[in-house]
Amino acid sequence: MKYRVFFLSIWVLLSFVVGINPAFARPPVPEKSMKAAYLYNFLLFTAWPTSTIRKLNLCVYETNTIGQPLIDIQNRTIKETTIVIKLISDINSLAECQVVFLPDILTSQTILEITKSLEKHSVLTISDHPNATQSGVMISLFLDNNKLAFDIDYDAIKNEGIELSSKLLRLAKNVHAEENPK
Amino acid sequence: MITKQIAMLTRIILSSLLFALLIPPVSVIANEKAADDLFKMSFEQLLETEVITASKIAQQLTDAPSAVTIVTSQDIEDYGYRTFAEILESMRGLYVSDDRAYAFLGGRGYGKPGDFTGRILLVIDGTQVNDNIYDSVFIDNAGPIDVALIDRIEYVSGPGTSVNTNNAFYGIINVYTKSGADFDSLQLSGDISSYSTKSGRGTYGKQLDGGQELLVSVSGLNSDGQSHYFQEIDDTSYNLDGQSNERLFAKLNWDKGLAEAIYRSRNKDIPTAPYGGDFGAPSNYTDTSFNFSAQQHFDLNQNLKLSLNAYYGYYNYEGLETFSSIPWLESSTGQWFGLNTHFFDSSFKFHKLVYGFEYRNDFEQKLTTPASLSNNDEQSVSAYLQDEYQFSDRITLSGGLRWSYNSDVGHSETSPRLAVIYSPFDRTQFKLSYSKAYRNANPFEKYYTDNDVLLDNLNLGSEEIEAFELVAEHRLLNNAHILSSFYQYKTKDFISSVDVGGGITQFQNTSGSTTQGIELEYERQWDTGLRLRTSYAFQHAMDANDNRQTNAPRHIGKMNVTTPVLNGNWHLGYELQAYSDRLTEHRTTIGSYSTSNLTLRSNRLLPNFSITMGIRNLFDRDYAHVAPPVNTYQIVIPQNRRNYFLQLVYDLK
Repeated sequence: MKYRVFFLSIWVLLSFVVGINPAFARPPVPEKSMKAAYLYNFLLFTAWPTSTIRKLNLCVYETNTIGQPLIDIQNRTIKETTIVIKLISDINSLAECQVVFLPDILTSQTILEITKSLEKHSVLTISDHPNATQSGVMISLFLDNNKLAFDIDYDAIKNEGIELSSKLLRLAKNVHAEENPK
Repeated sequence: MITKQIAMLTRIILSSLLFALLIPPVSVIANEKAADDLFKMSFEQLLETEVITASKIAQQLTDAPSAVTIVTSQDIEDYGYRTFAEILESMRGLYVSDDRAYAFLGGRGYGKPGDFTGRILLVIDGTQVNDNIYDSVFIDNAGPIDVALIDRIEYVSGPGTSVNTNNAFYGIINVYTKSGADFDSLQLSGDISSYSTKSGRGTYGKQLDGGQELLVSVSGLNSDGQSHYFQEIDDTSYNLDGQSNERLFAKLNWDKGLAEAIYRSRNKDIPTAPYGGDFGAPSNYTDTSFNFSAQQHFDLNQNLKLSLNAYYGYYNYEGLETFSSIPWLESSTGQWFGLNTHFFDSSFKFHKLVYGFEYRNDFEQKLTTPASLSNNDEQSVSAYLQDEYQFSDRITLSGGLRWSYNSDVGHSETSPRLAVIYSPFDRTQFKLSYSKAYRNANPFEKYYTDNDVLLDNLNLGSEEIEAFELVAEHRLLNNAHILSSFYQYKTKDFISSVDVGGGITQFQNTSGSTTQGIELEYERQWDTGLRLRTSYAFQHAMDANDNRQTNAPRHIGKMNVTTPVLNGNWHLGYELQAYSDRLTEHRTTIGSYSTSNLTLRSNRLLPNFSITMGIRNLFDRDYAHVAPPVNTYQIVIPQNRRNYFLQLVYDLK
């Protein structure tokens, strides 16, 4: 008698599995691969003041929490520009980067220290730390309803000579700015 | 014969399901291929693609320097938890005992059956909700809120921080509820499960135009229960295990404050006839409560924040039992209100100060039996100060002091707390702490009498606990976390039911108990969405006479694994809980046991629709819990065999 319930649930289970409609299910991708893809897109849609650079340094501070997907970006070029991935653990060396990724395992204190030291160096800072925006990071990544979203701190960017394409501003979940940049 | 074959087949199916858990999910391979295509997709497409959340191991919100365990709403979904008891039982070193009237929590030297979890503080969104008659915490279907409304639960072991009161004797359960925007729609949920159990919930959540969030939830449950055979008296109770509950929850939160109302009522038939009642005769307990709180935070200046919390609570219990064919109806009613004032002060460099005061008035504590009536009230004031001093990059010192005066106790009590937090490396932390706390006798322990077998004790004083704990925590780079804890708890004047002769009992201050223990935990989350948490706890719990404590298993093992399966369309959750033997109230031994639970869920079958299926006690283990001392007819209480549930949730978006 009690097994009837069990077999009923197995049957229900199987019928659901077999009946799954793939149209609903564009398979989800690992978070890290998605973060790497976002970083690549941020590079695509950002212009630096020294437009003639042949090399774009994408630096990670201390620990590469994204792993292989980040290293894979190295094989790509944007127009004529090669992307170079660098792992840097000395704050003073970060100024040579065009983009700095600050992983979420850092303390907000460290992130604040780095963003302060990079002011007026035209370096785009990106982080997935939950307090990134309060720590002066320009683009912060976060999860929203199982999808990766990002916020832009326009106030932190506008005096740096970096230009974000309007597309990024449009796609951002929130743009923090004293006046409307759009 | 056929049943045997079916059982065999069942076992084979289940083992292969388990085996499937051990091999890497097929979806991993598919996902890696998909990852390569990500660079070719437009940014707009990327934004619309779901990610497998290799979610971070949750960080604690409370700044308690003890070992904290956290369960998030994701765990609640993945493991199909439906009561507080199921959530707490998954945590390191904790166990639940069910006497078919209520479920009680046990852990580090506590968990005597029948103690109503009264030495644990339950805090919901910053407000304590233990009642003021039995100090009870309800963790079964009598629990104050539906677990679907929980965003996260933290369990803090040991005497509470100095900002907490009275009941934070052995630990604190901190519940943080979801807010309106988390639902952003009307959500309907229906659940059917074994023992003719049905439940339903409707929740409406919305972010209002002004930024405020509104959440309203209504739910109910009805269950027929089972017939129970008790071998001690070779008798079965029929139709005496039913229960029903109703719950209401409303929350409005805004920029710097919130208002919250919680109502629940649960009625349970009692099959065990405790206190020597008529076995098989009608018996039921009804617990009803209402809690309201309003909080507002103010920024007085850049470094000083003020938080005000005003709260009100109502609790009512009605119990019916039959003695020698005469119905015995008793009830208790409690009401209280209070105001808690917190200041958060960061004016001094390297110091984080919290100070404040609390006033609480328990203006009704009424106990009514056919033979007696008592009504008391008590008022308490307390003041506290806590400082977290960042001594150096690597060392933080923390100290706290709470002073309180209670009109029923008649004198003041001071609870100190000291801790050193040392981080030799960035991801490693050692926390050494000492704390001392009191719990005042509650009205049930002090004033309840049936003028027959249970006497009151007007001289009953407070009990005391002293705790030492050393916690070592290390976060590994691959999203893993290791924790170990050594602790010693020593109680004094411990309030306990004592036989004063002739079968008459009374609550008295006894000489206390000592518990030492070790706990280990390993937690890891993989990029594929696979998550693992496993723990081992050892406790050496001795009572006042240096005898082994009753209902305290020496070894407790836990394992929780969850992973996305079938291309991420389904989530599989498996948990294993193992307990070594324990002593009953009659000092006999009940054997060790382990139980397994399996849960499968999907939210990708139809838009806005999710389904969860679960099997509890997967391998159909026959095991029992210790019966409370007031159970005349039972030494052990047999627990549920394999049982099932099916839950459907629909978002009306």
